Amino acid sequence: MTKSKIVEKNLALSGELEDYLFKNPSHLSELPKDSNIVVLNKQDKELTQANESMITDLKNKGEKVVVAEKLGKNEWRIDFK
Amino acid sequence: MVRKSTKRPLSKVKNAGATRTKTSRRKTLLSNEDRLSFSYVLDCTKHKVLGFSCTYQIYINGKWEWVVRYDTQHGYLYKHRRTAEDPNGSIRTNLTDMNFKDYNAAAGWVTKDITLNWEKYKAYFMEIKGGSGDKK
Repeated sequence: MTKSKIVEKNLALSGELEDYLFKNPSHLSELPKDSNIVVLNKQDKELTQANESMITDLKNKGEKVVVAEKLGKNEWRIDFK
Repeated sequence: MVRKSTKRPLSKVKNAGATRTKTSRRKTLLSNEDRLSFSYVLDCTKHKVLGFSCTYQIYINGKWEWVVRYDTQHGYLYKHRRTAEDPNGSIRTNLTDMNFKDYNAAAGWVTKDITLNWEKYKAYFMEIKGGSGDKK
């Protein structure tokens, strides 16, 4: 998958996540300040692989990572660890 | 360019000082070189969004540079883009005429605009910065 396609897919997922967070603003206040969010959609294996590698890179740099996984329509699991 | 408008703001925030507010900041990674930075002002009591900003950034020459930025200063949605005339400055457009019914609708439009145009915005930024960057 090209980098351009990865960005496009992540943008689309981010848009869905934003919509979810706006509808559930309590999650917004729970998110650690200045955290790095990586979105995942297990249905898309190629994207998951690319994003998991991004998570590893961030963690290796000592950055805080929050993983937001799309489970279904308007359904997300947000891992604050 | 700033266009004046008589439209009603997205939300009246004049009483925001009386409520308990919190700013939430985070970055959504799109690739190792692309990210969105979000900042929200939240009403902690009513769990309501009182304003937001969203910035599309790219990693270039060892630092994150902003390419396009949106904010809801004074209750209106504005879009800021880097300019060729002043590579460190920006041009501001008031998007009031789009008449969003609330912040959620405005934020939805923002992410859609970036999704549709990020490559164009990035290419323009690279052009004015005179960099090569990683196109794909």
